Amino acid sequence: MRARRGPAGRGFFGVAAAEAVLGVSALVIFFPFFWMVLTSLKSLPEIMRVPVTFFPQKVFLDNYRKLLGDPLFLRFFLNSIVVSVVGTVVSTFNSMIAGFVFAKFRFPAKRFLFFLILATLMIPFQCYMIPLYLLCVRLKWIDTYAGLIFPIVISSFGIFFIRQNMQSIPDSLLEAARIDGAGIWRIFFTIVVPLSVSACIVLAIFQFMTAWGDFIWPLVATNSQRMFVLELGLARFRGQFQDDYGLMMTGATLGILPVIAVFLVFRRYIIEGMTLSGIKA
Amino acid sequence: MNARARKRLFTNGEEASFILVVLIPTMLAFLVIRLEPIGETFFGSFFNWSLVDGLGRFVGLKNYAALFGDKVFYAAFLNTMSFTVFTTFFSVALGLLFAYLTNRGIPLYSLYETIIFIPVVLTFVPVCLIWLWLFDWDNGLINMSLKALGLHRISWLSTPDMSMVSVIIVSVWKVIGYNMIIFSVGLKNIPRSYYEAADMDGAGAWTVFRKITLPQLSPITLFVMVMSVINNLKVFTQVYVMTHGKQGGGAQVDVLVSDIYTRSFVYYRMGSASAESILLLVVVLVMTVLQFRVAREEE
Repeated sequence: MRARRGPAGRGFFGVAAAEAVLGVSALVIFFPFFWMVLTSLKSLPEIMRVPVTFFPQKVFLDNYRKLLGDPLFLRFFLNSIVVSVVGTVVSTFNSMIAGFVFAKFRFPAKRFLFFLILATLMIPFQCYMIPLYLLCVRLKWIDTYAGLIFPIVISSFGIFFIRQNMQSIPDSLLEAARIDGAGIWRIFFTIVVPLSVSACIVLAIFQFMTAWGDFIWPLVATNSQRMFVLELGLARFRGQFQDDYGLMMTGATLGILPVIAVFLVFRRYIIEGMTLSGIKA
Repeated sequence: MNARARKRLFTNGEEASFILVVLIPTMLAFLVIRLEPIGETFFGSFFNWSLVDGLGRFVGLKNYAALFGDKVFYAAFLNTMSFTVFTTFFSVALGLLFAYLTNRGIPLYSLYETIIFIPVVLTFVPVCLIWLWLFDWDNGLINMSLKALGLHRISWLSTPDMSMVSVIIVSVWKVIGYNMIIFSVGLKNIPRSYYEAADMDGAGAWTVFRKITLPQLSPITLFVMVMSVINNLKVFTQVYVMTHGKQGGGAQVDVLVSDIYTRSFVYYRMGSASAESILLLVVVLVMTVLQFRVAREEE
């Protein structure tokens, strides 16, 4: 029964040794999260005690009360949700329709336009954020949702990915619908979208995670704390609460646990989305 | 190609209006928030300008020349390179190791894969907070453990060199799972018959790994390495959160992107920052072209 998948049973390590190495590594890799949660449940004096206590002697929830009762902290969450959701919906929708156009239509300058889109795919955001910032200033979009969202409303990767996917939809399906008298938008929504739904989900998850984790643009485009996204708000914890690691770990826990939960639910889509893109920010 | 002979799906008018409705806003957006800013950065790298006066004096290549004589840029460049080399090496090697082990058909492999992948999906800031706490000089778990074992404590974040090591540790930890999954796909695609043939010849494990697994994986390995290098060249968040803006000393590490950030948004030296952006772009593009070359050779 050995080696159900992959290389046959023979290897450097026996199966037991492989299991042991992996088990220990997985523990080491996971341990920081465990320690984060434990620390978030301790009072500051207990955190600073030498020698260190492992489990909290008394479960201390004040940090959670403090952060969850802090309108500013909740506002960070709200800002992150607004920016990521709007950015994801707009850019995914745009990728779907533009991907459809590039996959299924013939028109003048098609190759050139597609080339323009692809050309920007490889250019790091950090290389053109200065003019984007100046544009944001001119539009008076600093410290606004518009300013946070506008750089992510289109995605060259998204258009490319969706186009590749939609090219496999047979023309005959579209022709049949056409003969039945359906218009293009109707064909798009009733035939094309249902056929590419899994590509759409993969792309949306990828876009959402990219937007949620974005750091440098919110750092540049916001000054007032009310407009901070969660990443920025958490980064400021370091200066604000200098050595209050209890509070820092509570903030980290609140930022991380929802993500882990979402990951465990959508594991398959997320792994697919992240691996086939190959362009994590 | 009989694409030309293909029947048109739609009447010309309807087709044209759909294409225009979709492409005009899309291409306009690409123009305004991608192409123009890229062009402006390039153009701006030849001018001496700040936020207030807008494009100032044309200075030709002076911004570039000044960068090459600039100690901060020099340090940032070297730091970026060493970060890239070490992070790429360790994350690729460990990713391969874990992929190899999870593919040995052991029980619970999917649990291990899931756990090792978790850091990949998280964002950098909370992750950095956790590690700052683990690395703490007095009460951090790592130094406490070292002390308990009778070893010297390590000042993880108080010299530039150790800060770099700490940032590399965090970055490797975060990305191993990604590399592991890619290698896993590659390992599953190696035909089993190769291994069976080697088994019949009585080849040892090391020989099989070196003569079959590694060569068969080489396109994947190249892909992972190039991707990794490109991403690592753009390192910023973990460096900024872990080593910048800490009151009371600490050891600030500068990398290319943090230097671009400081030049433009702290000192408002837009020309110099633009020139550095273009240099970063050139390095990244060279790596991308390399990857396309490699990918084409594989086909």
